[in-house]
Amino acid sequence: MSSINKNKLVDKSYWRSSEDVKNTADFQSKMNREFPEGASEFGDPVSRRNFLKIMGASIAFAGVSGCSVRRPERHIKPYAKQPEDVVPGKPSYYATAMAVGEDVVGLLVESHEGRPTKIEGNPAHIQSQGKTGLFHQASVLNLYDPDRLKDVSGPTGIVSSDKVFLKLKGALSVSKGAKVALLTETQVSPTFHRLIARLQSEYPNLSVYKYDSVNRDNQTQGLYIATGEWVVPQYDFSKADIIVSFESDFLGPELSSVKYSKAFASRREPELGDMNRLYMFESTYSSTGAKADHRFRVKRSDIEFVLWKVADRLFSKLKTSLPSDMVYRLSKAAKSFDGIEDRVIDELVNDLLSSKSKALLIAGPYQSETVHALVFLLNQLLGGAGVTVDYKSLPFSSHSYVTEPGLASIKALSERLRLKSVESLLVLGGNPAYNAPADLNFSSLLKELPLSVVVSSQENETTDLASFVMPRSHYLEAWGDLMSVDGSVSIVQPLISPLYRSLSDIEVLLSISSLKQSAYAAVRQTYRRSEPSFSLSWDDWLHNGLVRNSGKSKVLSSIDRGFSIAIMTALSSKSVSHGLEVSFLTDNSLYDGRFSNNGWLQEVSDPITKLTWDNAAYISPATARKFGLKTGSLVELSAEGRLLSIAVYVLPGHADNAITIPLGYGRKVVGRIGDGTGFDAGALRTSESFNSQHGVTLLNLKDTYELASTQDHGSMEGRPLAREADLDHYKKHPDFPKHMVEHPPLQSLYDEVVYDKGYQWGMAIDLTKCTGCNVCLVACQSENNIPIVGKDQILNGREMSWIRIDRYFEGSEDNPRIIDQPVTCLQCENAPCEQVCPVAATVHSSEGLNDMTYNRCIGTRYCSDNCPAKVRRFNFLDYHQKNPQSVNKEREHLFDYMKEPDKTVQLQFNPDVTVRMRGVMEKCTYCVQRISTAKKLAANEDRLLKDGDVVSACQQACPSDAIAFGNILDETSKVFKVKNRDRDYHVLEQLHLKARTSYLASIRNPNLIIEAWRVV
Amino acid sequence: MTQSTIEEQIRRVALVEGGLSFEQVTDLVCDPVERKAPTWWFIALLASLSLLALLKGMIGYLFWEGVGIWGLNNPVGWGLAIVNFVFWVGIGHAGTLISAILFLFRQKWRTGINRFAEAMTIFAVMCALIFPGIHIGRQWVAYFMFPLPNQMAMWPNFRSPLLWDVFAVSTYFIVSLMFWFVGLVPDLATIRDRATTRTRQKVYGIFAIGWRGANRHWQHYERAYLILAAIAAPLVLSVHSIVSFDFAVSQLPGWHTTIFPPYFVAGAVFSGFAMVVTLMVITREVFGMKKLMTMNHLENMNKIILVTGMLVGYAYGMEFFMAWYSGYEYESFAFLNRAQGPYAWAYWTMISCNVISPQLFWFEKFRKSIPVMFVVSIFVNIGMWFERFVITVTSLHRDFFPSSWDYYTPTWVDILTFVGSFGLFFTLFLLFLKFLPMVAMAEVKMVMPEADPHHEEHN
Repeated sequence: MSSINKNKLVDKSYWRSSEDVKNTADFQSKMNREFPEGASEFGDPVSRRNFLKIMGASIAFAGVSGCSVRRPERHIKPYAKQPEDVVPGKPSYYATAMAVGEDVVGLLVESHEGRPTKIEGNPAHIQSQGKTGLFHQASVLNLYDPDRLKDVSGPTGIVSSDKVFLKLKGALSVSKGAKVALLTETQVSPTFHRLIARLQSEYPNLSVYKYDSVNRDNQTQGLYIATGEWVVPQYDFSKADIIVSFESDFLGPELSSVKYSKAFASRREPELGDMNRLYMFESTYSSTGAKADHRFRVKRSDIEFVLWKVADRLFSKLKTSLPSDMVYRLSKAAKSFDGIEDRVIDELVNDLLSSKSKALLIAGPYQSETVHALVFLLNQLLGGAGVTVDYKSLPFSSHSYVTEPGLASIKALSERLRLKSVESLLVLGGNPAYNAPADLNFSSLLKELPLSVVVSSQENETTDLASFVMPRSHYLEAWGDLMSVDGSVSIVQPLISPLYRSLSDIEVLLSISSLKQSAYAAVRQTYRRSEPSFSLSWDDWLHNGLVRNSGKSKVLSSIDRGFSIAIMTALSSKSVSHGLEVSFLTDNSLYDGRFSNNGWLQEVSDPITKLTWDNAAYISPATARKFGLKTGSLVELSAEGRLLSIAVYVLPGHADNAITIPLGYGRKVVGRIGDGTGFDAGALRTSESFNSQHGVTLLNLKDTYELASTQDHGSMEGRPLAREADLDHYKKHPDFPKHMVEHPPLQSLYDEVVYDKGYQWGMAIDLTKCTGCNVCLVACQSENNIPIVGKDQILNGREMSWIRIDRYFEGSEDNPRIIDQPVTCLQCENAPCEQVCPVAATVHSSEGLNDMTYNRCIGTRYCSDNCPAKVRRFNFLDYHQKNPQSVNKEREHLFDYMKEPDKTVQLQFNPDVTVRMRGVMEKCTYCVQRISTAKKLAANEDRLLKDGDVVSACQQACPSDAIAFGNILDETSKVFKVKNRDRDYHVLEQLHLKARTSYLASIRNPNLIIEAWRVV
Repeated sequence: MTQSTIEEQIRRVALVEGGLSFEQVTDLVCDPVERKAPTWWFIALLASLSLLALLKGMIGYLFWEGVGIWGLNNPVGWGLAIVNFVFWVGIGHAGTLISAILFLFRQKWRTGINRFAEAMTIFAVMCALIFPGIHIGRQWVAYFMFPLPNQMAMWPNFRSPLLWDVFAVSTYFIVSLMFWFVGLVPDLATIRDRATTRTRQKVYGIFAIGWRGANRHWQHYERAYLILAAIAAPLVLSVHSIVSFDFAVSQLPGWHTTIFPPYFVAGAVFSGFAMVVTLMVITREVFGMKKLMTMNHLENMNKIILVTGMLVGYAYGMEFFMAWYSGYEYESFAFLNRAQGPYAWAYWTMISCNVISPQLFWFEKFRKSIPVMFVVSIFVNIGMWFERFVITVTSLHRDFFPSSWDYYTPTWVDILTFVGSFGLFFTLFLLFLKFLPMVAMAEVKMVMPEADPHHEEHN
């Protein structure tokens, strides 16, 4: 190089760097070397040996890496043409609606690349108001259930649906359908009923029956007795000051519970105005009972007496135009019952009278017609109509099969089957072979039938006996429409084309009628007549999920004449029943058994008993002592020659001499998830004892059965975890929860990080509002790909749910109070878990989140041991593999996992959340994937996040709005305001956790006079 | 006068009984190594190997299925694996204590038993080291715990006591192993020199690393041994202190206790000495080493068992006192729950084994009775296992939120894994008895009267 400079081939002097110009000695030596220093020679004198060593090692390791590369040979296929509205990684939301019985809730469904993954509520829908219930959250799993029926099948195996329809049409053509019956479950689709009417016009002799094992018929009939009209009540709990519930679990699995939860909770905020007061008379303990300010345990059959007592007092204090002999008889009959002290009734009536039109009485679906009629009367008397209760006309009440009680309907059908006047039966949904009253022997009648076609999404007891079975579409797969009891109508839009060769009810009706129409066209046709500029409106309806907001209310002033006769008949026929009484109950998780094969719902614990995977016979501690039973004892119940062997659960607060058994368990023909769960209460349920069975004898079998409960310990051990006070105490000491723990000044061992910039996420859970309904839990499960673990793992204490709802009893064993406390990761700023993890797999983010790095986690479980709230969940096994529905995986190498979730189940997974493998710890992330999505969106729009941009899955689903979540530095945010309330507190504050999740103490509003009489 | 009484007493303590000569000592110690192994040894080895195979089977099953095959659950995240770990580490305390601390304190009686105890230490620590490795959820990434440089610049969490544990136990193991090996060198050379076959000569020759017994060798040897003893001595205290930090540094009532480090060390010495007694009682009988492992040794160890047993008992009492004195309801509950809760059976097993049974050693008759000390040492081992069980499980199973309380029952896999770990221990121990000199010949000779140039004068 220097020689070039010497020869001066060019005139200009080009230089490479300042060192070049200066031409230092150092630079000279650099220039003369071919490679930089150290690159061309080894420092070690024995360099040849070193070279060989390194080469040898490299070759050896190259070989090793060759073995260990796990590169599956699979062909990937890109979108050759990008579908217009599909952005990979970005979900779309579609409005649709779902019905459980009559209960229609409008939904927004999240769809990732064409597969629905998560259900959320539609804020525009009255019954939803953006919230959902348990069944809606879990329904997405039903769509992907691998146990669904896939093909039309007949006695010879798989057949074509056309063949079945031909058979049906053939049967219908005989004397205009006189030998054919159609059995449906409760249907609230206007198109469905339109098509039924159409079908009946084609085949006038076709008879239609309707049956649901869980129904509201008593209320409908009772109101008809009272008013002579077909109406359905809609309550406004936000206006009610005093609520008296006669066994109505309106916060549980009853009609409109999503809407009611929200309205009820709106009056449980002591900061924002007067709290309501709830009186509850019930036999078992319900979620509503747990929220009650005064709860009285009364056998189901005795609740009517309590109502008479209340009515008697009210009649004596109010001027009524009621027939005097009825009032007299009522007064007399009321005295025959002494289960509730008169002074309590007096106080209750005083409360009712002081709030008058703002008082509300309600009765549960298992109460008799006369109870409902009388409750209507009392509400009218107090002036609640139009204020706290609104009567809407019952949808589809022009159809006689709708207004006829289901029990009468199924009895009539059975009778005709017995007389063989029906030869062909089409069952559209429902499972009568499992849940029809036991005395009707429906199964054997069905078996003898020449032609039975059952349309069902799953194999069940009914499909097992049918001659032809047709798979039924999920609501996310088929076009439809639903009218809710308040008269609002939604279009059900499908989000995915049917996974199997399934048909919707509408499609089945279309196929057997003479119409050549698609379901879409049929649904459109239902509305075409009523609307001009139809196409535009249609698009709007689909987009908003709502056709019509609400139907008109009915003003019912007159009381029907038949009414007093009915009441008097009841008064004279009813006597206090002694002996053991078995009451049947809608299950909080499985409803009537239709969700038996849903793993999320099987595993979600009952709000009160905390049982999973089973039901049990609930009895009171006193009755248990009488028979020498404890939780898990097996007993044999017998009534009228019918037997039921069942495990006992001793439930504090249950009425004495009474047994409650939830329906929907003990299915015999069911998919792999529901197999072998629980006991079939239907064995004791006859058409005479549809609500409760009296005179039951109990035999202690001296054997035990393992019940899997997620919480074995019901007492809080005097620890201030869930904090509670009466309104009176709260008013005197609004910040009482902050003073329940004394501790020395707290200091951290390490420097504490100050989180005062950017977004700082926090949560506040209001225990006054929480009803323990578990919706948050299932929403979280569906959002975060949380596996189910099965009964044996629950027994071992290994449930995976990221949020758990602790239920504590307080007070006497006979009638304790219940307080619920949802506990999820508290996201402590001084997180004890983070400090002890040896591999730093759980660390704190700058936004105050306690993050889990699954890839880094080696599974020492030390974090869980050190977590004071024990909210961390460990994958002890690969639960996705252990799921009974998992399938063998194609093996890619020797040590490959042997199983994986079924291909359809995989479709449900949220792609934004890692599916965790065995051996890693997981826990609530505050839905970090939602935070990051919202942040990206805001960044694209060049703005900061505002309150409400990030909604956690639990918060989104909570029907009571008990969860506030957001940026705690944002003074306009709801969470900031809520956390600044006096009753905000932190659990275990003595540990200096600085938890981001805080609680608002539970406040009850009891009548102080009655409260003083309470036995603790 | 006083001076002479002390001397009298010292003289009475014969470290080697039976007036053995140097040659007789060498013959006695080398005999098991040189003789053909007896039948019972093969039977015992076969039994131990079967248990080892069981351990491997259990670990294989564990790796295949995951830690769910154990009885762990949500509140009880640590079960038998951690109990076994602490148990084995505890046992691994006696050896280094005997060799290093007693060496530094010039306790000459240690020479008869130190080799034996050190071997036990090393094997026990090897058993212990298995458990933290396998108890984690994803065993194949256990190396994340080591500070290995990586492209993510991802280091372990140096605040975690579990990481301190990794360092403490591995350091302890390495130093113990080195200490043991250094002590073995002169004796290995002896066996090499006595070897009758070429193979023996080669193999022992390799491990004797050229020892010729030169003056320089002895000088270096003694210097190295002293330095290693000085390094090992604090480790004896540190390793179990740090193991106790796993518990003490957490905030779980029943774990979060400042008494833990000394209490754990005392407990470890207690259990380690008990294990030495158990094994020595059998070995000295079987190999006819009664003259080298004398009753005097056993009595000394029994005294230490008595002292450490009472230290442990004091700690149990003090824990309860502090639980009450702190006035902290969660702490009080944790301790009452130990004595009265669902695991009371474990607690009272622990108390009777650890506190009550050593009280027999107040009496010289029992201190010198082989059957009594054998039974008591077994009891102490059982009791100390239960102590770790009580600490680990009873604290976890009922912590802050009563809603998450649960009960932990070990599964058959839990139990067989523990049983299998004895297979590893005894396999190694039997190999040691057969192939290595179980008494430190060179060191014993140093404390024999003949080694003292003036011993003639005393007699």
